Amino acid sequence: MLFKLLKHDFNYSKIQFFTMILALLLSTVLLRIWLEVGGNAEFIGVIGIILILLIQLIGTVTSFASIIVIIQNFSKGLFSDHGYLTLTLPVSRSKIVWSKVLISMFWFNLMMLTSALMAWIITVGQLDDVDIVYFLELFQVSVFEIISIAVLNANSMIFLGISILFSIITLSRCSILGRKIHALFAWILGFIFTIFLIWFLVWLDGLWSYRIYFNFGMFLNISLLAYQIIIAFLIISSIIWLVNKKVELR
Amino acid sequence: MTLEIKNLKKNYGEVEALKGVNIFVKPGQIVGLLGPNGSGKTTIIKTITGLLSSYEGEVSINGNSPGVLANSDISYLPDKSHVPTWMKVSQSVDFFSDFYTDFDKPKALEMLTNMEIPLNRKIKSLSRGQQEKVGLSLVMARNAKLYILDEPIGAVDPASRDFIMETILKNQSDGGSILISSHIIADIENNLDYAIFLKQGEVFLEGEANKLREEKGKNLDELFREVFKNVV
Repeated sequence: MLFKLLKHDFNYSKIQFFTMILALLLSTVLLRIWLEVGGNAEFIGVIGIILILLIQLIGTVTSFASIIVIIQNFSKGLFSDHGYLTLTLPVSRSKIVWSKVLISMFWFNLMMLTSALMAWIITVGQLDDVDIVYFLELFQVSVFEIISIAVLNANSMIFLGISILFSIITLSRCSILGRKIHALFAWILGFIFTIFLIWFLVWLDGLWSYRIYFNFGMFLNISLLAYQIIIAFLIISSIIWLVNKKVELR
Repeated sequence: MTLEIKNLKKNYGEVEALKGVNIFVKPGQIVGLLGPNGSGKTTIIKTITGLLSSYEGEVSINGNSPGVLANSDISYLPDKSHVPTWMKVSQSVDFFSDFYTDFDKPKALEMLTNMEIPLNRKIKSLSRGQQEKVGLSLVMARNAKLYILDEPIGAVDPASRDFIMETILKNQSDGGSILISSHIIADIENNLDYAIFLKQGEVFLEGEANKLREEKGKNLDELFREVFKNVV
């Protein structure tokens, strides 16, 4: 049943995500072609920067759009009129929630892969002057290791981020003592909780984490990874409990 | 398939929506849950389908409490457009086919074709009436043990009501029970085996439809109008 839920959650957002990915890749390819055929080096530099900024803008817009699509899939699928179908399926609600979490992680990973592909399209054949070996020697790791670490770190943060986001949305749809929790209250509570969580993770993991928590791409910190994953699991368990016990479609 | 509700109470904040409702639906029976808006019909239905979690009393669907097991026996048509509107009609058929083992896909396709619903169109591009027909077809294409239909004729024109009722009766599974809520009685009363009148969260009157007619000397619609003449 989880696979079927994943299939339908994938179908829900595939058009939006594939359109965004196509737009990003197409604009990057156009930039690369322009850089290849454009006039003198100085001219390419100025226009190139403008185009790169434009791609960054598209990237930022698609990042926000990705989050909105993911929020919509969770919120509409569970709490809107469509929830009358989703929540009455002969499937446990934990599977329904996990399906939304996993598909969101899939899309974020695909967007990361797209970013990597964009970087490759722009830089392939252009990095002769850049000493990649020296760059990697700085960190004393291979390309494979650095990618693995980046993917692991990014995924643990995405996992935690999605769980926090979904918990806020769920909380805003809950009824406590017969009264609905106000959405603004849920978001303020979620914001405060996130700040507390970052402080708590840093405290839990020791001072060293301060330097790397927001610079997570290059270093591997197993304990921090484990803490993030455990906390995300706990938050998702709370979401499932809330969906089972406190969410009422009216 | 039996549905048994004992002393069901439900509050929304300080508002008492249900005040100890008892309902029993026998196998194969068509039961009308009749009452004006706000009488508690939808609240009862939502409790049976597991959409409301906090309540007092007992709800038993073939021996199961509301939840995953019970949902596999219930085919539920809410009073909202519940089929995701981003889907194409054909995708919604696949969706039901994926999740309900008792879903009869050829029957659904036949019903949709007979209703002249284009399978390749997105549901959001259909008219409201067409969307309701899609929902009804999907729900009635299941060979369910209990059909729960919340106001299926509430928002359609009088001409479509007969068609909807005909679709419901024609496609009811063998031995399947139907619990149908409505505040429009005239169009459904001839099909009811049993009628339950709800008023302000309580069962005001109930009984076999024929007996009620005989005892009161009125049809159910006249009875309804008499009981609720002062209720908006």
